[in-house]
Amino acid sequence: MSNTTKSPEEAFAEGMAGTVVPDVSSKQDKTRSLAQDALRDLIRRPMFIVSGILIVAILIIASFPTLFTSVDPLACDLKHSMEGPSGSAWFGYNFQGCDVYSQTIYGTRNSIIVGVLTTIFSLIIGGLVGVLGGFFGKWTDALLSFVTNVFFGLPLLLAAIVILNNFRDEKGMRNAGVMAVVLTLSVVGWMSMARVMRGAVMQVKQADYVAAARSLGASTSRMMFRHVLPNSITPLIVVATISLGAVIGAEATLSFLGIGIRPPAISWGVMISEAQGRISQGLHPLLFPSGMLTITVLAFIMLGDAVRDAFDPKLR
Amino acid sequence: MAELSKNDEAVAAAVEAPVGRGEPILQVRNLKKHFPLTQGILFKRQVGAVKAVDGVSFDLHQGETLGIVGESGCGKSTVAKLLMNLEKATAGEVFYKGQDITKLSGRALKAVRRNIQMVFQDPYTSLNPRMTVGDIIGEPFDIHPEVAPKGDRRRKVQELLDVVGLNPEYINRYPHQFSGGQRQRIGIARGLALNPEIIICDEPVSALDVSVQAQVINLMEKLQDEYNLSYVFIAHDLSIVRHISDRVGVMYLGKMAEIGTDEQIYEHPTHPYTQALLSAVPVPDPEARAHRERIILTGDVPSPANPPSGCSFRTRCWKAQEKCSTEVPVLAIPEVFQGQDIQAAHFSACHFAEEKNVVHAG
Amino acid sequence: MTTIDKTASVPAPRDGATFDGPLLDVRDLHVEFRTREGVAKAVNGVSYSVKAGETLAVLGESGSGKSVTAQAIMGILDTPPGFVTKGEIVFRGQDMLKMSDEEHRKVRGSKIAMIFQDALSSLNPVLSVGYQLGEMFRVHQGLSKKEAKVKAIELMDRVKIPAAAARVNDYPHQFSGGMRQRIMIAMALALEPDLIIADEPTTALDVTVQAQVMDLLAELQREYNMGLILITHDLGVVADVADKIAVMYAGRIVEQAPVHELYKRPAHPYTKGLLESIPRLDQKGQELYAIKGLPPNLLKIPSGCAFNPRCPKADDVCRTDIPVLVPVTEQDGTDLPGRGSACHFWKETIHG
Repeated sequence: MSNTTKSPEEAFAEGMAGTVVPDVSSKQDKTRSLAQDALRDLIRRPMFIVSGILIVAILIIASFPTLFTSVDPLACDLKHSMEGPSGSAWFGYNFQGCDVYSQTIYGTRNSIIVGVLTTIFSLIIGGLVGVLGGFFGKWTDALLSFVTNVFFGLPLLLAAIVILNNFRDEKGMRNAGVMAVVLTLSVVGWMSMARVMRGAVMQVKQADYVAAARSLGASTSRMMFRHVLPNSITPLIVVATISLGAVIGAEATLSFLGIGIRPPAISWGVMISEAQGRISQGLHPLLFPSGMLTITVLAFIMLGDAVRDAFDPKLR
Repeated sequence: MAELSKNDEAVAAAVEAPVGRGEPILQVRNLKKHFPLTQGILFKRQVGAVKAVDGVSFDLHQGETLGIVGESGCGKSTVAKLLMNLEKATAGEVFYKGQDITKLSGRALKAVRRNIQMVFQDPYTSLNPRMTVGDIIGEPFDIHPEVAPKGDRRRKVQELLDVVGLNPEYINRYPHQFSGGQRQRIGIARGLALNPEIIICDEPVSALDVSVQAQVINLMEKLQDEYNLSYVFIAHDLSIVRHISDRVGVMYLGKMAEIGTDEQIYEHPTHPYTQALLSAVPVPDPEARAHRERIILTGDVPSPANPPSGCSFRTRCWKAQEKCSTEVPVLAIPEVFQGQDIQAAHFSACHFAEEKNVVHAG
Repeated sequence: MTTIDKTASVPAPRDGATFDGPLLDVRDLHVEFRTREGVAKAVNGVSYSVKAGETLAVLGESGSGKSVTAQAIMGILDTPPGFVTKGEIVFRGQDMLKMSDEEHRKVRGSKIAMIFQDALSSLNPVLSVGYQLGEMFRVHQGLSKKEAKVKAIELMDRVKIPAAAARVNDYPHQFSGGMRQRIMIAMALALEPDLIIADEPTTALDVTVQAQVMDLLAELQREYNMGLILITHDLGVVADVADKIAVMYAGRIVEQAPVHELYKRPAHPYTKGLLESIPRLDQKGQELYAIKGLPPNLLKIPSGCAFNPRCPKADDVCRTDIPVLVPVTEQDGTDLPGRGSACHFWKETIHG
């Protein structure tokens, strides 16, 4: 027996067939989880650093617009109408004579709020539907998959137009507030999250460690929250990060179509929508919000990509 | 129907224990698992069934190792899942100390689970990658808090690590920091945590390197002696099964073809399938290459969704006759050997049972 | 171009049959993997050779470098991260590492074939088996679709797939594991290679099917007088079919011997330990001997002999000097042809 109970100090590290298992010598005895490993890996990726800096900057702009501009975005003066960029107004003025720079800064908040909240709501709806369907299977899954497919069948824009058309402000005008846009986009956007979650849960559910927990007599909630969920949430987080960018773009689309956020509220979509009609008179009111929108969407998609790569076990 | 009950009786008699070992700790009777084959998406209708396990019976005694061998698809892993109640049996009973555990649920089932634990095949998927070793081995105590008081758990986990030959300081590490053999030790430690009486081992060493297999086998034997454990050891490697088992059952297409002590099965097999299986195992001895008779079976294992009539082995059997296609052979002492006090007189489900030593032939 | 006539039981002598000496000669091969964690030295000076009609078994555990060596021979090493840093792979007198890509591909396609462990993932699931077999003939010999199919059926007959003509249009998933492995063998045979490299060809199969496939492989090898390199971890399979054995550990050959000799009198503690640690079908043993510890990390191979931390015979010299593969002799100095051991204490191991 002496052989099997040998001191565990003996050569701990091991070389595997072709692949190489990271060495764990007794010196660097820090314990790291997979997530910690991924994080360590992330901070070395240039794509993550760039997107991270951009996103932090955007978040600061959204939270504290006054740090970046002292000009009231709604203090418009028609005498400046369509004036180009200058020392006093870096991005120039729009048709109404409002400061484009100030509006772009103030518009960030609404765009980010829509992006973040919509993603969180879709994450909750999609995650829940996916977990329940994937974990319980059978008729629960059949029903939830059916519902998911029905929602998938709705054309996103059409559905959004139909829903948002029913929102009116006090004056009876068609006007959807920020929250209405968030709810609408969540309702039409949770399905892919549900699919991703369902697939991941179904896969993890097969794992022997879930069977092991069951044979220990673990309750359903323990299996779900301690074993299945932590191991299946990663792809959902990745999809969510990527779709955050898409949602911000969708908000701009809705505002552009005139059914999303409406003036006097400001968002990048609202600004683009207002500027597009007067391209012949000047490009700058269109260019600056569009540029910000593109950078933001790109930053979130890059972040999502980096997160996915870091968590992909095949790449480690 | 009359024939069926006669079968059951014979089976019950057949698998009974060698004398003088007291009540068996586990009695499996006519266990069946049929997976329905369905068609249609919304309105499913059953078009057939995969008979993964189709009437398996055996006893297990305190401190004993029962090996179950067979090729892939013979249903041996499903038997493990049924014994663990991870699958619901279609029919049959599993008595643990006289209590049928296939009918249990809720609290009663949870209580029984304390006594029957499992070691899995794949050490890479059987440990939750997001839990530390301490959490993994300590989880049984979270689920059954009566086993260890809260303050005592860390010490218990460290004790278990020590028992399976791992450094107790590894308690905060994650599974991916260990090699396959070490992970299998962690899995064994988790299985031991609740002080079970029975451990079901489903191919516990087949994923490990040759030089590490021996370490884990030795560990399992040591633990068996120390804790008086009973093992059901399921594997496809006949050499390892012989090494560790007291009794061995050979499965083919969801049924037990032959069952007996390791000597009866390996030195005096009477079922043609057992003989073919044993003769096909390569022996690490080139001298034996010339002397051994090899029975090379033709064809593949038939689909368990559509097994042959009569004896399920007849399609690949060189002895098959008319009778084999009409009559299901009963697992019992074959008539020719009945009443004789020889090793060949053990339970074998063949109409034309005949002793043939293929391991030492020549 | 040789015509392929599978009906003749004795193959016609082929070009190159006059070539004397080893078919394949691997000399001092070094392969490393450059990974983020560091450089993993997977193969550290491997030399072996195979003659026509001979079976060389390369035995080793995971991480021993046995498969990497084969990948280097076939030129299918993933580069990066894998790089051949030193050595020669001489096939019929020509160093394949110095060949142009085009030449190399020609040799690889028609002279050396490889059989993998997992037949299902090696076959294209959306093409019929007959089409995939026939492709060899269409591409390399310019046969028509119809002719190629006839050849495919012949090949399937050759590897004893029942009702070949009826099953030629079936898809890989419609065959059982054993039959798929036969199809792989048929593909490898299609162009009548001189050498077949089989990487764990039966590991995924059941014992009864494993025996069928190994028998088929041995039979075809005899018939075509091919060289066979059998890569495996299974000491039993090796004993059944090999002529000579090379045992690998941490990227080196630690022992080399004709098959009977190796099992009777191992000359390296690792081989000896392996043989003692496997349970036997024909013996009910007591406690198994177990080699202590774990296979080494290729990023940090122990200094001196890589096996020293696990070796019962290890001494100071083992921790400092890398043992070279030296010829093994009888106690009185008589030559033991074909035997070699890379152990400082081989004399004690084989004779003590």
